Amino acid sequence: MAGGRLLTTLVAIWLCWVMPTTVTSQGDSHQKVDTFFRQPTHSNNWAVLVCTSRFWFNYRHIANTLSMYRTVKRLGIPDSNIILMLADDVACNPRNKSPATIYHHPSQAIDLYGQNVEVDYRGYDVTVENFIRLLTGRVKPDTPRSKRLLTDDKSNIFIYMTGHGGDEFLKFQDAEEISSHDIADAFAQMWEKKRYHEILFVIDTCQANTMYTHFYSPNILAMGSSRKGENSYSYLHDHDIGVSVIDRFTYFNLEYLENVDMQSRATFQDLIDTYDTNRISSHPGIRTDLFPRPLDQVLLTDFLGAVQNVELTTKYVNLVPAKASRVSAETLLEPSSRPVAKEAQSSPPIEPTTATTSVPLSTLHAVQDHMPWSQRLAQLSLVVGLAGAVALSL
Amino acid sequence: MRTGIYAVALATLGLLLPVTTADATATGNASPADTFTEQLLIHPLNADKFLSHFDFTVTAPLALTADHPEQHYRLFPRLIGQIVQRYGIREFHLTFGQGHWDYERWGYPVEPSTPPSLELWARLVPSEDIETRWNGFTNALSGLFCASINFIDQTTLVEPRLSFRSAPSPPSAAHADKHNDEPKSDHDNARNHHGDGAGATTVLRHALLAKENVCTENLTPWTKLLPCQTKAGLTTLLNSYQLYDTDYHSMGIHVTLDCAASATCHPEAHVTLRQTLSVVFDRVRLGLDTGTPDILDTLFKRSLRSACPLATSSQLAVVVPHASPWQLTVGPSYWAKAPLPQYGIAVFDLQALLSKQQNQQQQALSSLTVPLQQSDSLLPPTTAHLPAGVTVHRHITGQGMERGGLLVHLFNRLDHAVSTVYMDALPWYLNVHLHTLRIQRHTLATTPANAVSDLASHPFSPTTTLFQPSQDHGRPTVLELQLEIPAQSLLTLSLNFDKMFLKYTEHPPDANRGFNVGSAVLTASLPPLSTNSASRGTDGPASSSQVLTSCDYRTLLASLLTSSVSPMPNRSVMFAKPSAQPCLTRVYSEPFLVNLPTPDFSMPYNVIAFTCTVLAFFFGSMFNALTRGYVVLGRDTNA
Repeated sequence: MAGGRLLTTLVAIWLCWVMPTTVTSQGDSHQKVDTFFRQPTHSNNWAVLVCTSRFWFNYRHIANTLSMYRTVKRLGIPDSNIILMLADDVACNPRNKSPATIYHHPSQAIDLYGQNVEVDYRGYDVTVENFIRLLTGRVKPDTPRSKRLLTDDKSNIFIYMTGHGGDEFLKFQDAEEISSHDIADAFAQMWEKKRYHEILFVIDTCQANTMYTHFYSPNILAMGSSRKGENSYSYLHDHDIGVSVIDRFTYFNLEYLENVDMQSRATFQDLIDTYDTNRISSHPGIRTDLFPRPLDQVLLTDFLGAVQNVELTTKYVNLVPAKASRVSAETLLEPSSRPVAKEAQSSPPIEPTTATTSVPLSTLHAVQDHMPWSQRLAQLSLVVGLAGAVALSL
Repeated sequence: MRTGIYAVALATLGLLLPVTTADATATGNASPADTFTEQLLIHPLNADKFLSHFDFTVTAPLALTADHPEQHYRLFPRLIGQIVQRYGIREFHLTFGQGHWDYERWGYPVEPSTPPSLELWARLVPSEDIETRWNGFTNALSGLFCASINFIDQTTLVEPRLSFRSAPSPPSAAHADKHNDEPKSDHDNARNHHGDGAGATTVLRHALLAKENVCTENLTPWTKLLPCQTKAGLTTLLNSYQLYDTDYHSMGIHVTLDCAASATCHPEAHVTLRQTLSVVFDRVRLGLDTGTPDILDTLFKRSLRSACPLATSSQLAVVVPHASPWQLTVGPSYWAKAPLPQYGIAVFDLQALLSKQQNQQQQALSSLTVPLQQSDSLLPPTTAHLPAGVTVHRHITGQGMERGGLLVHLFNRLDHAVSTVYMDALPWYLNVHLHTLRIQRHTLATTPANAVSDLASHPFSPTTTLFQPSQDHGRPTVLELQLEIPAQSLLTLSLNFDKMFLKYTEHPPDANRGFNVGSAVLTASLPPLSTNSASRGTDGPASSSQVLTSCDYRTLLASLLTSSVSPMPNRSVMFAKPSAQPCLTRVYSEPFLVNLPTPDFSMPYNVIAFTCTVLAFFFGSMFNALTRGYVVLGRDTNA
């Protein structure tokens, strides 16, 4: 924690020193550069996706979970960082008319199961005990790596649960229950053991909002699909297989998330603004009092995507030799090099910095190269001095 | 400080030295260290069913001792290598299955393991910590293949004493060649052979998980072990939407060290990893009418455009029985001259056909098409493929929740007696009474097949009977019977059991569905290319047909591999001489589902609720009555 904050402070100080001397335009470009250099406060992302329902008629719960699996995988979290728990196999169930597929829509547009899927806990392995052991890290010594949550104090964890539940409980396989106290205590233990940096807890079940009422550990953002006393309803029904295919809350989340990509600057506020209680048929809830950041500054990709140190682009970018050109950062950050955002209709205006994934190095060189050496030295000494001061004060 | 530097230097030296020695031994070998071959066998089983069998084999040297912790993995997957090293595994076979292999209509399978669930059997080095190693081993496999293999515990684990004794090792010519190329000393060979003979030096364990399904989540890690993954070669045909839309699906991983049967191994053993995938497609489900311009496109909905460049051999073989209604319409250069008069075998060498570098003079194909047509004369489906000579069926008898029984039919339709071992592992909650075991023999009629000629039954006694009684909440009942089934006869085994009560917490979440019990295994010793006579004389063209056993399939695939070095036209497949030693194949029975007495699972809640209510009322009112002070009010005011 301390290291991360120190680093961001230093970067901010350095930026304040450098930018006014080089960038010609004022507030606007400041903001652009600021957003661009804003480092995520976490270093790795994990996802725990749990479907607690067994039996064929609960097809929709597996579809719910797999739609989140599809999203986090598409946004860059590798399979090694995803713990997927499915209590039953519906993809290859004899009742599935098209085997090895799970769809969220009768049109069968997106196969959520896909041809590349790894389920870590399945069938009878999905129990309350295993879930709590996974979160708290108290697994048996023989447990393979793919069944462990190997997080640290720099991990952002996305926890998604779905199944049949009620007031402050969620059923596992129709045989046992987990209560909101159990999850709250598991999170507390995780916080004490430095097993997370921030948690996003999402649950889609009946009376889901009661599941996060007892949380008391810091840095947890919690979302639920329905209020106390409300049911969470299923959405589309596929008459070919005779079951409902997805729940409403997850469906509308997925609908929004399908238009989010790895470079997206969409925030949780943007997602919440799309919720329509008439279409969802329940009142989704969000609990923010444990979470320090305002929702309009929390990117969806902070939890649903992975920290990307290298981003690949298919755009063609002209790199200008830094020494020869006297271009300002402004021209390099021109929107012309921005990939065409296909989420234009659904997401708010994108910060220009979304697009600069292939440019930043050259920008930095251009910025640095026409700075006098004396100035640079002074700047360096200031940074070192500040660092020393901060270190001493800590 | 200085000592630290020395230590680091010494450590690096220590790391380097074994590497260099290993390199020296590796360069001493003429043959490349790792070899990879891929094969696909397509075989119309009858008019309606198509068998596709994929076989991917990697052979590599593997250091087993701790003296060589460094390993250079080239084609052999490191994940498997580490499991073999760490847990002292000499051989393991893991099979995922779904659907029932129909021995009566399809003959024997290519890969003998056909349980419609998960099967794991392995040979381990015996030692004190074998339980720890076994637990680690099953957990590692569970993590690797996304399955609940960690549920194999003492209630499902069996150590067979008669079955699974010697794995059917293919008399592979390739294998023999490899051994000749190796500069192994005679001493080593002798020791290995000695080890093979003394089979009791390793611990053999077998387990069936009767309710483990197989789906894409198991195929995904399976394909990631392959050198070309799903990027090139035959693996590009692995379309999961098609592979699971089948009558039968079986996916296997077979790891064998060349010293599998002995505890003492040469420190640098050779390890063979075979990954197999067998599926049986149904013609109606494929929507196939009369014929197809390309059978690959019909079966897999993909086309074959490349061969895996890492493979030494990449082959597609189509085996069409002459009696089959299906005909392959390709040029004569593809047909192999095989000494199997009943089968036409066409071989496509993908590397020659699909790579432009190797085949300059001929126009390389952009994608391979294999036209399979149905001939005009529609033969009845049964004539295309004869039933397997030795089969087993198991039925559950009885009614109610208290008692039950087993009825097992063992068929031998062959002209000669067959030596078999029947193994059945029943979970502890079926309390088997050995004294109720009855074995009867009936004589089979020649026509119609499977009919019993005389109703008179004769008592029959097994050669050997091994019985391991179960322990409550622990090990299963294991029954192993060595039976010499006479020619043309049916053996009927019957057995009674009591159903036991499980503890409340021992029930699975779906206890009312019933409890799955895995297949029984019949190990039969068959002569290769066993002549079947069940329907002899009734059908003209099929009378001389022969049923291929698993060993024959393996011999065939191995022979095709060795012939791949010859140039494309005028191919002749030199089959390994059918060895006199019989082929040990396994036949699996149906699994069954048994209903046990299950409690009303809401009962504890009822009891708790009721008790709490009574307590609250009783205690509350009593406490109230005892502690309340009664004061008469109103006397003073009234007065």
